[in-house]
Amino acid sequence: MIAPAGDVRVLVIEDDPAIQRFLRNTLRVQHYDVREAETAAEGLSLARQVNPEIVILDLGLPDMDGMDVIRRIRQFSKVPIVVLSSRSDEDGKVTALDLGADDYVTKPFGVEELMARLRTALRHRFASEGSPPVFSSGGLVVDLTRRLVSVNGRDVKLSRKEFDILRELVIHAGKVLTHRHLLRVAWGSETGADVQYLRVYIRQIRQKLEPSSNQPRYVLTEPGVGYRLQVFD
Amino acid sequence: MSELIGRHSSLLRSAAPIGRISDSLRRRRVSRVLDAARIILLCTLLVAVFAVLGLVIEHYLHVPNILLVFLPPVLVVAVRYGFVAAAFTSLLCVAATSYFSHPVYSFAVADPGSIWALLIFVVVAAYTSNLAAKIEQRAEAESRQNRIIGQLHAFSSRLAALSSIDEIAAEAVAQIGRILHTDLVLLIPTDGALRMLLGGADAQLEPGDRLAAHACAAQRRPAGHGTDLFPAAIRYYRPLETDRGLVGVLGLNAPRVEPDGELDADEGRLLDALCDQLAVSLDRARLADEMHATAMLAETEKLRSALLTSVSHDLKTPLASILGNVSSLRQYWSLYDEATRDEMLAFAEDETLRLGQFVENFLQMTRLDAGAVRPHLEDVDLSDLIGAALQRTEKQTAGHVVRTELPDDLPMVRLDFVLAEHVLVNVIDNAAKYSPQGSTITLAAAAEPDRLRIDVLDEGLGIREEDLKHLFERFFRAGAADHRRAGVGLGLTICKGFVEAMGGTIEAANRKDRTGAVITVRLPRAPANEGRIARQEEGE
Repeated sequence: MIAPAGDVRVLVIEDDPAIQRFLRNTLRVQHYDVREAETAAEGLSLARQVNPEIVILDLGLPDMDGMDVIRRIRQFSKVPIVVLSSRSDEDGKVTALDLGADDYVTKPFGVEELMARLRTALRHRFASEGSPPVFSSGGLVVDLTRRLVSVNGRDVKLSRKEFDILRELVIHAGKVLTHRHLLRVAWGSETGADVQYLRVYIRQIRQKLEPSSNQPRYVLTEPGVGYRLQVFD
Repeated sequence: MSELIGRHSSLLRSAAPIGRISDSLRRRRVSRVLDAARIILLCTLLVAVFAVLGLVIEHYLHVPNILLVFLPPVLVVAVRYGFVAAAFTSLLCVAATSYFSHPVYSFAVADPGSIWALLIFVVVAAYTSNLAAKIEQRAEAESRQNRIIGQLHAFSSRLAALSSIDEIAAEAVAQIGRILHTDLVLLIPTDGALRMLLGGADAQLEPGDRLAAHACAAQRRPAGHGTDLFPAAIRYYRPLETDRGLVGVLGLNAPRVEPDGELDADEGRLLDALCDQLAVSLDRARLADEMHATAMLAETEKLRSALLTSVSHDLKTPLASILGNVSSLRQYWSLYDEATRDEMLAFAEDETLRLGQFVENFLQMTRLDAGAVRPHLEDVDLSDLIGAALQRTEKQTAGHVVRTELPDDLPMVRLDFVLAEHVLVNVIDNAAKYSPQGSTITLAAAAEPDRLRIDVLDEGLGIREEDLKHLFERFFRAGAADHRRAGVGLGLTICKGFVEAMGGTIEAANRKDRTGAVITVRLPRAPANEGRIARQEEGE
């Protein structure tokens, strides 16, 4: 099978035939070059062979723990990994993200959600060489080098820590960042700072940025996992 | 119960009074021996006084037979000190009479009338003393019976106040042990075997005693020590029976500390009565247990059938519409225009989401039932939580106005973010479902002394009074407005389970200011340390 030039090569590691077929059809229509594996072993060897640009990984594979698959892929590749996870398994999502997965989609999921996650993950792959110094989306403008923030033209003054947190969210705009990730950024590695410190800062950031801090537009909460900066396409 | 007491008391009263002289009677006899000297002295004094009285009477009134004057002291002594003392007094009287009659100051019996008088005195003394003793014995027996009835009554009323077999057994063993001054064991037939409930010795029964207890249970007659069934056993076992069969076996420590070790007739009858009472109480408790188990079973059955009805209705309905739409599209694709196809597919998509929600709820309910919900409590900013919940319910509340009323200075609240979000999503979803399009859903929060309170208010018709208390029950759907696209009736049950797992409460009411329902969730406040973080921020 020869993929048309320019198509993004995606590796789908999924053992359920129905979901596999749905992903295959959907992704092909969206001009992805789809490669498939039904087991973790097969997936790992394909990941080496075909050098995919993005990986969709089901955490519940029959032959290996999904976490181990992430760990092994990360040993040789920085390829974005989007995890398919089941609902009410927040701990699993966090573990996957901390191990190096880029994002997750919760089953059952709609096609829009999956595509948005894939686009975000791919955007970061391209941008990781050097993110643009000024981020602008939906009225929020963040100048990373000059440390300036404005919302709808109104300047916002953030404290140093608040800006550090926002900058990390901006750098990974659209991606979910775990509590631990953000804590490490703001307080250095493993200081033992508590998630509630982070919550206090997020509240303060929201009070300064959001038109209504109770219905945030920019900084979204992913319950039990972390935060995500909304990107308005 | 009172009928039973009546039966026992009449049984006690009709029984022959005394088998053995009781403690108080025995004590009196001992004191009689000890005080014999005192009694002799008293009798002599009494006779002397009456002798003087007799002399005075004879001197002034010239009564022919002075002997009659001595009748009262004889009677008094007979009543008070019994026959022997009375006979002795009679003798003294006759002696005194002879001494004072002609010839004066000599003990020679002048006439045979005195001999007759002496005989009559002795007979009267015997009769009187016997009468007095009988009266006393009767009083004694009566007071003992009263005491026994009192003990029985106290025993039965104590047992009546208890409801579980274990409580009754513990109380009965303690009470009977105290009344009869012995240690006891109580065994209850459970699942075809005798279960040792408790006793002075909490260890296992000795092998010989186990045999005796089982023989007692099997043959429904006393066994063990002092019987012909396994007499080598340490204890004496007797069956506790009612009309409905054996309810237990009571074992008494036979070698009592008492002198001869055996129970006397009175104690035997008391034991009979106590055992009857205990048997009735145990039977009552067993009956109550059985009824409770039956009720539980019925409840479980009811739940199961409700679940089945619910599942078949609520899972099959969306499946039917998904299948119908999809198969129809596949079969007649070209017959539909673009807009209809789109509509059918959108409908199938919505139904699938609904199905997903049902499945999710069933999973959560199963987790709750299995006790697998262990909240991961952390201190959370309420606006964060509410924001997340509103974000998740954007689709459901698209046709509503959503308003939040959160004071800026709300303290942190201690909760499990994921569970709490699930609760709010469910409650907001309900509010949207049961209130008209275009109306307002309000989320208000307020700090209470040690809790944080979240109210979700809608502008629907509210909840019927009679439904309020069932709202959080499994499979309950308010108002039976069944054509609505409601859930399985698990949503609020799960909310309640989650909120309680986090140490909070959830309740439903109707709005006071207008029509509409209000669901109130209260969650514990976090310990106040937010100020510290805020100060640290200012210091930067």
